[in-house]
Amino acid sequence: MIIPVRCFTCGKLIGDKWETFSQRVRAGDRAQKVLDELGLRRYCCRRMMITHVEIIDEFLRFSQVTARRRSEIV
Amino acid sequence: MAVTQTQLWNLAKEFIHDSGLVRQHIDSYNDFVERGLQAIVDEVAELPIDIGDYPLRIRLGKIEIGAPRVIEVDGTERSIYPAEARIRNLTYAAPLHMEMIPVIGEREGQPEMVYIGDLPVMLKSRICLLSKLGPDELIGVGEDPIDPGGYFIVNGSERVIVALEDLAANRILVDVEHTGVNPTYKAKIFSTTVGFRARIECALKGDGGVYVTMPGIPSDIPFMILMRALGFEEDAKIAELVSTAPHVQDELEASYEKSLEATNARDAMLYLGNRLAPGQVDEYRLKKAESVLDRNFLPHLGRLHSDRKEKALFLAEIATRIIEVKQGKRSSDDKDHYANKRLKLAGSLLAELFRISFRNLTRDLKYQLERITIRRHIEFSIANAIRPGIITERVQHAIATGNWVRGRIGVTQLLDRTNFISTLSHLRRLQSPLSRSQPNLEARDLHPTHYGRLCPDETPEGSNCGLVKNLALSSSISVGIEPREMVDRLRRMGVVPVDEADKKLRTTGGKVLVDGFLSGYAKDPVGLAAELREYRREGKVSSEVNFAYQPPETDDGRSELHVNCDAGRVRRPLILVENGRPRLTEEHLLQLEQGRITWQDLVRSGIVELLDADEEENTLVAMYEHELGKEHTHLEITPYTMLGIAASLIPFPEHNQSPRNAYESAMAKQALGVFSTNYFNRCDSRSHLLHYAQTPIVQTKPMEVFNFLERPSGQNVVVAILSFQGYNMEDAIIINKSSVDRGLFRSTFYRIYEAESRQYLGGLRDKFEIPEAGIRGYRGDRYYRLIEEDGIISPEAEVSGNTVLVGRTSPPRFLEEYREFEVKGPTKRDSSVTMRPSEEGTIDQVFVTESIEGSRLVKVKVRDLRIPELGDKFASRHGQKGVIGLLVPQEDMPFTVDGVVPDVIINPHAIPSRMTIGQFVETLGGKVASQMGEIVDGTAFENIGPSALGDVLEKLGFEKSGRESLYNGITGEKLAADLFIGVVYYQKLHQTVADKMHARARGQVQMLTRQPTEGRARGGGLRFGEMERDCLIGHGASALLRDRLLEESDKYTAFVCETCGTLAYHDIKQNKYICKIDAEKAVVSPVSISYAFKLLVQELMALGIAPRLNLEERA
Amino acid sequence: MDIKILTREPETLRFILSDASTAFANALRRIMISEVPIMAIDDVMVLENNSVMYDEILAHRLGLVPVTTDQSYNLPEECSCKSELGCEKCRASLSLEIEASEASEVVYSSQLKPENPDVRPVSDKIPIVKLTQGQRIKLEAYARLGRGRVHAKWQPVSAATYSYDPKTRTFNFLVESTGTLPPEKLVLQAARIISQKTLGFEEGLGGIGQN
Repeated sequence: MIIPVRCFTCGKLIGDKWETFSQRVRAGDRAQKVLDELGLRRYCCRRMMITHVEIIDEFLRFSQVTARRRSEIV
Repeated sequence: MAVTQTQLWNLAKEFIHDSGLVRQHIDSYNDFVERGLQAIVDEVAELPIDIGDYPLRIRLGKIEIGAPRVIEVDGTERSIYPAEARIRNLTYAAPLHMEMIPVIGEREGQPEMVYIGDLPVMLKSRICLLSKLGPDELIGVGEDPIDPGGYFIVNGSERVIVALEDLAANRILVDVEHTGVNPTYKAKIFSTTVGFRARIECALKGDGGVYVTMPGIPSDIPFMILMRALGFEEDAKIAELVSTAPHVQDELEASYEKSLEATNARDAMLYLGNRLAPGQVDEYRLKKAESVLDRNFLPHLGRLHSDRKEKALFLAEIATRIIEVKQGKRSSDDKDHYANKRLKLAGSLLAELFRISFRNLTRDLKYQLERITIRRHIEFSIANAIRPGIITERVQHAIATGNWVRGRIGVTQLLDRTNFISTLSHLRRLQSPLSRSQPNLEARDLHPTHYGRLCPDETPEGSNCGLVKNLALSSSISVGIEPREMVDRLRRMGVVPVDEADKKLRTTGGKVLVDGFLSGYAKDPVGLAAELREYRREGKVSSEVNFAYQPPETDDGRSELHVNCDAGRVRRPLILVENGRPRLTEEHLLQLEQGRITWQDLVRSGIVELLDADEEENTLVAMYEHELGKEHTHLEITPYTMLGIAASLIPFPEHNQSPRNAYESAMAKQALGVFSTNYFNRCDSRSHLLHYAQTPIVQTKPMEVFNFLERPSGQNVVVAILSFQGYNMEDAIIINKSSVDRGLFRSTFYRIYEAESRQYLGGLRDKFEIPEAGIRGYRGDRYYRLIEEDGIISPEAEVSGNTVLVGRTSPPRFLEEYREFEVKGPTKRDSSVTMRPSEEGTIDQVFVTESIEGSRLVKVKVRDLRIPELGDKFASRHGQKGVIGLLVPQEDMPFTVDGVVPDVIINPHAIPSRMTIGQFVETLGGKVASQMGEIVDGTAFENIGPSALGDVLEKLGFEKSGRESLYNGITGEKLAADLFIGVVYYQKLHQTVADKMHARARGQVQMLTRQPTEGRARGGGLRFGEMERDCLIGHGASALLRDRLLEESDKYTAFVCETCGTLAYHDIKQNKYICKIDAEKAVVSPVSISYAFKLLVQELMALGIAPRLNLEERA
Repeated sequence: MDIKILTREPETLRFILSDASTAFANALRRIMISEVPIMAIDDVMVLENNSVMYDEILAHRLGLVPVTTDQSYNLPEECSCKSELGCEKCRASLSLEIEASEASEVVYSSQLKPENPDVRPVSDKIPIVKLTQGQRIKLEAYARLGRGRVHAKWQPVSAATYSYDPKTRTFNFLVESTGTLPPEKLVLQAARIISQKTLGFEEGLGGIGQN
């Protein structure tokens, strides 16, 4: 849904690193390098970033449409 | 060409996008709406209305379909979108209007556009409102933008018409049966026209004669008699029609002898008439015979008198083939060859259904008009006489229940929404009509012609194994074109029609069969086939048509050219090869990538083509470009598209033992994930949502096309292989409790409860309210605690078993019962909707709406957080399933120097006998991917492979083998052996303990037998069966046995008459035990028996058997 | 026993423990994971929430947000208040109130307003939930001291591990804190817990030794 707060396996705080990670990777940085620089050394923490799907964005789109409609009526 | 795998994948992707994952359904439905409907109407064309004095006919004109809409109770008409239909239990259907013209004498009256009924609309078909919307607009109407469509919504539930795999219609299939002493040579033809199917059989029996069976005539008809009835009287002419070869003609000798009683057409017709209406006058018999012959015999060739000649030709062809098979000039047909199979999709199945209901409508219309006009002799309106409900209800009922015409059941199924994969796979499923109770061994086998058409892995286990199949990614289903077009073209290209062909051509030339019908002879069939194919590649002939050349099997046999234009053939794409070089060039692939050309362009320019199983027999296909030789005709695009949706999820499947891939294909459909993004405005009766779904870290290429990466169903976990204190024996798995605390595999379970306030006859109706204490069926105050004044519970309330969600009172079921005794009028009864006894949760949403009948409809969605617990089921993608055997705190888990602990520990014994090496490779891949920061590609056949992965691992500073040294978390000692550890994608399966756990001490009993009820939902008992009984007997624990099976079960005290041994009874009024047989002599004793036994005794008595219970004093 | 600090960073500590038994080293490691009490959000009163995320998921996420530990608080089970809700001495509240004004607005841990500045999220950039225009969240969260044994949110370390050489009896320790307490403090606390346990054991023996 949204990035988990911690790595499932070891409990390292990863939530605060997601935005940096996704922005930098989108900008073209190598994921390996970004992960290293974020201090995510263990493969358990790294997989949290690599395989995360931010599905909440898709859920939000529905709410956005409803919100927009509501504002149009008002 | 020197193309990369990625480029070829781009090509395959282009094909899949072009044909769409559920396109077969949508195309078929569109074809039905655009052509099929009108064809069925045209078949009827005119309705004669018998009203005595003046000739009235109704001419049927154009049929038109509108846009999906709903008519509310107040009569207003509104267009609706699927989301509303799901929530309000409506049907997503569009109105059908037909032009009807009354014709009096020869004068046409005013045409009327009449509403004739509703047709359910397939989602994303051309008439579906969604088909015109973009992603944002889809969200606006409450749809998941990547929902595939291809299903119907009837009464709020999503129904799929599962494709039916059937033997090809209108083809002659010859088979040898070895049942008797002499083998029987039998040809079967399923002659099919729109909505009518006649099974024609023709057999060469042990007596040497050829006989025909057809519907409507109870007995076998000698071949010659039938030929004569069809208008060919002379023996020589018939022999000539069958074959020019003398040895074939000789075989007909016995058949002549069997037909001596009818040597001309009239006698033959009378012979048939005798079988139909024995003892009637000649005139009637003739009429009857002619009508059966025209209507029931080979109806696909036409159903008129004028079609008899063609039928005779076809019958002759049947005879030829049977004889050739008998003489060994031709082998019998392979029924399992995919060239002989056709898929019946939504369109053709709906056509069958619509045809029947349309016929009912016209019959009813005729009756209504005759009634109205006879009575009034005045102006009439067709619209008033028509009852649109006939079509609407018949079609809706069939789709809602799956009960199709001719008693076929299970045609539609409720769409599987467990996860996105299960939905797609369900839409690509095929069902064979063969009985699953019979072995049908060959039909269940994988056939070489399935390659690239059907998935070799994805089939259920057990009774449906091999009968239920799934389409491969590289398959496409033909929609078909009119064969007329091809027949004309062939004629222009020099094919000589049968009756014009001279003896020489018939002996030396090749037969040309268009959709199984012999339409002529060609001098050079090989050349003709090549020429036709070139035309197709140049775009002069439709790409829907396939040409298959079948060479003669013996020197004196004949060759055939099959021209297939029909719908439902499963075809697959291949790259054309010329002189050992593929026609596809790098340039094409580049243009494709840049979007300058499309798949269709490549088809039109003859670079790629789609082949059915028939034409594929003429090809030599190379798997890879470097294997190409001079003799190759085609090249595969990609090897891994031979798999279906579910099997495509498996990484490195070629490293697994094949059944494991089959198991995983089944389990992938049970994995929890994100099934849809509009889950909050859906009303699936039960559904699940995985909170932190992840994409697999080891992926396959096809995942991209079926959106698995956007709607995943699993999580990547760190897996170690170790037998940890034995808690993972027998396929159990051990999970890190701390990981679970941090949200691993958490999911939410949703269940919908529905309540409707129905209106009853006599103006009474249900009412939503808080029921007053003391009314019939009142459950006790505490259960109503959470409902509000309007009777409905509010969101976010915590509920547990039996809590009332919607308070409802209903009028009494039988009014009369109460009127006599009660002054106040009928009392109400409580009919509240409550939580299931074994479930709990939080109220998520409450939908309050109105059903189509205008009554209030309330749907309450209850959600329940499901945290993994002991006994929940999980599986990797390699058919390795297991339940949680232990949740271990992190400090007890083995750990590495870096601080990595496993999330999951599986037992080493799960591996050797199952040989799921793919999971090992995935483990390595997962580790590499995490370290490299990028996904590893585990696509079947085309992947990096285990040794290369090991090398990468080594470079990254890990052990090449994937092993690491770990420390025992409990003792702190280093483990003696290094563990194989890495990242693997695991799936949480929907069978959770919370849904299954159950125990009972006391509870309900069945009324009839007084034994405990069965099943968890009814709070049932746990069966103490025969084997358990044997156990107690073995231990000599008779007191326990008696306690379990009698005292604590259905103990009953029966009164038995000792003298006669029958059941006696206690008469309360006289306070006496009475035996009806012995009366005064009776000695009645009470006996403790099981109530079920007493029931058995009485049931036997009801059958006229008199059991006696002979009593003895206890020893 | 001998300790040599190798590296010392805000969140990680590497040291060598030599001449120690496996049992001792492992006890230290296990106690760091499961017994050193730290603070974490334990109770969440959701007053308003019309986001796409359910209350229970929201609460779970808040629980996992590491907060700095103020060791002056009492463990709830040892607190004098004996109340289920807790009192000032055993709980610290953090509140969150937000209404989104944009189409997609991320709620970060920084928006949790701590009652006691010593009990605040260790990172400001942890996304809690995403909201869209008009969606509101109003809640009151209570952080309490707790132990990792009960729930992983009270685990102070994301890694407490070592490698060792059985011959020289040296342990190369790695302690990685979640930020709630500095790692050296964690090690110290763990050592104290061990000694408290031993003391408790000694007391339990009571008279036996004397007689």
